[in-house]
Amino acid sequence: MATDIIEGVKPTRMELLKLSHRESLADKGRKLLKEKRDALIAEFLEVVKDVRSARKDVESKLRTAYHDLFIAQALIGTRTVGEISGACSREIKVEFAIKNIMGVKVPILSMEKIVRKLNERGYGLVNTNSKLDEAARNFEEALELIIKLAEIEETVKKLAQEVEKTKRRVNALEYIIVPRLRATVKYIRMRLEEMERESFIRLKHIKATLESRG
Amino acid sequence: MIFGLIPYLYLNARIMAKEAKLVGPDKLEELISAPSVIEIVSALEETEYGEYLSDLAAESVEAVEDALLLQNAEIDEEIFKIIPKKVSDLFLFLKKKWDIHNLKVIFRGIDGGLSGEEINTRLIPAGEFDEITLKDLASCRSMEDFIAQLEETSYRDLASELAAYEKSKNLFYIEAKLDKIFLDSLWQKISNGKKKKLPLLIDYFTLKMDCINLKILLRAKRDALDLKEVEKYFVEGGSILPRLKEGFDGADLNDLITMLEETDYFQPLMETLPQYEKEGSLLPLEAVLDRLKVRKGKDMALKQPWAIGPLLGFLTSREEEMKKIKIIIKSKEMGLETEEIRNLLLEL
Repeated sequence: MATDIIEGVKPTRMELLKLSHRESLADKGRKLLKEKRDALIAEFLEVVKDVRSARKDVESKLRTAYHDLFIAQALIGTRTVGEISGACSREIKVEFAIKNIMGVKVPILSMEKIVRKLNERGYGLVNTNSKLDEAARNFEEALELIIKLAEIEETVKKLAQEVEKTKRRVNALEYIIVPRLRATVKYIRMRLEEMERESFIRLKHIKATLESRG
Repeated sequence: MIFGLIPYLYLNARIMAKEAKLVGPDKLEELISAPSVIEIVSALEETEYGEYLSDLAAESVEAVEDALLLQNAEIDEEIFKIIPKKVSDLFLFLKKKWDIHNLKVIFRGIDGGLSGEEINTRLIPAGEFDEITLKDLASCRSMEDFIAQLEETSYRDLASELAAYEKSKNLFYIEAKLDKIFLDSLWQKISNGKKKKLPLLIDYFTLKMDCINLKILLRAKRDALDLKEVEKYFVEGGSILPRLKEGFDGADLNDLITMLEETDYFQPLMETLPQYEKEGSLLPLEAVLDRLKVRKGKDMALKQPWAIGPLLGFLTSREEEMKKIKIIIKSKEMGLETEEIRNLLLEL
């Protein structure tokens, strides 16, 4: 496939120098971006591994929590457990901060302690049982894991977007910009050589005309 | 001697009649094998619960549980009326436990921001509080108002926990105090004055109070709480609390059970300890204590068949029946297989 050249370019030495400079710059940029892309991919794969294990942890914790909740409801009563949970609700403050991974801004979520002690949950100890404590504790731990998972998933999303963006840039440089600059430089070089040849013949022709007159 | 038993004849005849109507093993098997909650409700319509289940607004687990509670409350009222007058004050707990139930529903509702009407729909029309008092309590918009309205009742001491609640918005303080007020006054009533007349009742409640305190201690120990964090919520009575409190802070769960050596709780708890260590759940230990209570209740029915034995046996069997039905209904709703439900009933 023939590579296009930059339209409207003037075949001058000045333009050749400018374009050669741009070509070497673009090539350097391509190499740097390629390195950034590879590093981002390595980081991405590392974080993806964390996502998998964090998701697995959340699923397993929630499975246990729901099972405990089921037993607690069966023993204490679904209505009573519902009333207790309504009275135990609270706001949890989650704080956001930003971390920079190779120019990618990813969130860091931090929260107050979610897991409460037995006497902090808002229900008495006489008509309740240990399964309710276990369900509550497992849901609280699951919530901590979910917030952590949200942080990791957002990091993965941001890294993936950056990898995609960098990949597009590398491809654009590698397959469009650099070849086009290269082709244009080649075109100008050829055009200048041609012009040189034309000028040489013209001069030769003038010289011959002058000699025949002389 | 025989004259002392005459007042119990009518009571025991009625109790035996009621005992005969409890859900038997065949019916229980029918409930376990029922394909859905609707079928369980249909099967229960042929039992004592039928009247309360026939006009259920919805066949949800909550609606069925409400119907079971209503039936239980009415049976309690009925039993209370036929208990011999000379000991009826010792059985006031049959009424008061519904006050406790309703008060908990009300303050949880207030704390959860429910309207008075919403709270009213969840109350059980039983206990010592009349309908108007319950409505007034349910219409309170703050815990302060609620506790102020209880000023003239035996629950006035709840005020001592108001500051802790207001500071932390933690209902634990109120609920634990309410349970303590109820159980302490129950124990004081039973263990004072008429003690010699009803030693069986003392035996029954000694076990009950021991189980309550022991469960609190086990849960507190598992959560690594210090004794001082839960101490004031232990209930009076029972036989084991002083020795457990003494060594609580330095002991682990194993030590705690070892401290029960020479009591009836030691061996079954020790035998179940490996299961706790394997599963990490206190439930098997709690189930052991519940089984001890059931066994004790049933033993009492045989021990004193002409006095209050059958009543205590019936109360225990009914509690057990209610527990089993609730487990079956919830398991059915969750889609558990018949065999899984059977295993669950054995475990719990």
